[in-house]
Amino acid sequence: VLRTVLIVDDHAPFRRMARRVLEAGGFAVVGEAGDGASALSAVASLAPDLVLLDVLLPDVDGFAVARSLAERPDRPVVVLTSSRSEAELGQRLERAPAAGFIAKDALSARALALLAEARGR
Amino acid sequence: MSHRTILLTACAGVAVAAAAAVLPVVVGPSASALQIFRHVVIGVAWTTAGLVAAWQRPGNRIGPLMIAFGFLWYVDDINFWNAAFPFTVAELLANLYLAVGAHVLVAFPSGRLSSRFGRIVVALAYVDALVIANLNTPFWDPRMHGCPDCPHNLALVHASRAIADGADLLANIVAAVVVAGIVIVLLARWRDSTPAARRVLGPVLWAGALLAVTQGMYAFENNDNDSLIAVLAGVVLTAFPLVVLGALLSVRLHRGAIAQLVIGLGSASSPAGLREPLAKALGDPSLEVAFWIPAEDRYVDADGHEIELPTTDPRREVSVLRHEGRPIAALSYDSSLIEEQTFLDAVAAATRLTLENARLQAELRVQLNEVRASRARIVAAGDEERKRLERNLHDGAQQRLLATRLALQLARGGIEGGNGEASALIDEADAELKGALEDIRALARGLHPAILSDEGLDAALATLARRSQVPVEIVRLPAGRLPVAVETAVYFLAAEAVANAAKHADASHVRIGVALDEHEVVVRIDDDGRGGATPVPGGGLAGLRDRIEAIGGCLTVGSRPGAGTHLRAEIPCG
Repeated sequence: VLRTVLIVDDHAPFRRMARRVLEAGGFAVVGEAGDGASALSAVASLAPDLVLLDVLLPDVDGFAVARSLAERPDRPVVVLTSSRSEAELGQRLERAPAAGFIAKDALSARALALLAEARGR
Repeated sequence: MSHRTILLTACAGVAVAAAAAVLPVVVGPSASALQIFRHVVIGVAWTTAGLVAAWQRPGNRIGPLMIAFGFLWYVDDINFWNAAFPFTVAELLANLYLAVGAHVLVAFPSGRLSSRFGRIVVALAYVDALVIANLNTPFWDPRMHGCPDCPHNLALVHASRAIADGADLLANIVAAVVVAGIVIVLLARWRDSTPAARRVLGPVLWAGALLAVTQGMYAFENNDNDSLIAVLAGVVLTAFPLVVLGALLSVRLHRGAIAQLVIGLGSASSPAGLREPLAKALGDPSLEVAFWIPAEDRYVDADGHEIELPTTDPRREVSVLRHEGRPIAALSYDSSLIEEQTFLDAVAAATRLTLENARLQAELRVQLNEVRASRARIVAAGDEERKRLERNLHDGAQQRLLATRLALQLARGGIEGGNGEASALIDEADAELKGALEDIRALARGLHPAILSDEGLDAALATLARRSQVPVEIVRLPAGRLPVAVETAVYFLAAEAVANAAKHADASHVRIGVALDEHEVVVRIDDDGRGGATPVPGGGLAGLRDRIEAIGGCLTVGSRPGAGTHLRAEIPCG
């Protein structure tokens, strides 16, 4: 079962809350990252099962981070998230190498688990 | 040269020529009648051609130079005086006409020595004629050189045939260098000339080459005055000033040209229309007119765009037309076609009012261009600000509210099955938060749709269509991205049209088409609603018209009652 999670978001209060929500739902949050570059190095050192990845980051965008992660041999399952809706993100979301998308106001451990399970199977 | 000076010079020319014709007959019968005739005709040809050139083209130095050649040609005749002082002076000045001839060739057709190399060549010719060729004089005793009857050389210091011959050799070597220099100058000028300029330069070049060949052969025959070559050389030397004069007059700009120009300008109503009659009058199709904008300290073209005057291009000449010392306009023209400052002054005088008028129009266009540019900048700055606000909303308030919703989610988990009232309050707060987030999203979208800058018009319009309450059909879109200002204007126009179709027009269908041709984007948005829409000040459509006009476009609204609303925008692009 995929249990370890890395949270990538540039907004610290959101990361903190997301950590508590996911941990309350049984996930092990192994790390947090505030931008694309630290996300890549955190994945390399922590090897999480899952990466909850914000689309809008201060350095590179989340789609680029997802593409970089997809090239890794131990590619973690990537779930994209954003405060914007699916419609606002358009085709870039459809093209991204990710297991799925959860809008930030719909984030829950259950939603993440469903996407992870669908991918894990 | 003034006309009075020219007339006086002509009289002097006649007197000198007559003296040159009569003196040898009276004083020394050593020359044949044919030789005397030839000698006089050459001087008369140069003087006359020079006088005509000076009369017709008062600003050009070629005329006076040819006159000088004509007079200096007779210096030799001072010898007939048969006295020591004139004889010595004649010897010292004997070669000066050659330097003047070199000056004519290098300075043709403008009369100016425009290149540094040309100035050096001419200076060397004068130095050779006046100094180097006379180095032999202190050592030259005419009696030792086979002229027992010649007068004394007053400058003689020490008679030495060897030194005198050596000095002669040096003078000849320098003369050869000068000739090579002239050839280089002329070839370079030919290479740099436009076809129109070559038509002027060509005959003079050919005649010059012929002159060099015949004079060379004549010198080779040891100046034998009765040979066929001598006659031929004389004919060419006589014809040369006439060729130069003919070439000069072929670009002669007569007074009629100014009259035609004034008539031509009468029908020119815009700064751009001014160029054609000016180019025709000045005989230079490549003529460019630049207008002076004093407030900005620069020249602009007829459309009010800044232009650089070609001040460093040797093929272009720039003349500033002034009124009361102030520049009005500058003409840039082929440097070989128009050389006469007085003619340009006449043009400036005849066209002053028209030029000043055109200059004012150009100045107005500069201001108009600036206003347009500043409107576009204001819109762009506004868009940037909207983008910044959208990002701020997204990064600030929206994130905090999202975090708060997660906190409420956790709190609900903590009291599950416990306090029913607290649980209901949490649900209520969460619903409020959800509404607030929706409001912020709509506000951010209205400020600037992120998808427009991220993915372009295609994706932004598709999202707009998905979100619309009225079915929206997108019939045509350009492939690829458009300039940001254009994409933004098209998007906001479409968003306003779709919102109006739903809110006010009660339409059941909206069609959006965006076509891109070479120069502009044409947007057509049609709905089948009740029509009757008019852009009112402060309204959405009026704001969009301002936005589109600010980037140089135009918006037409067709909205007869009952016939739907049809928007058509044309926006320049690329």
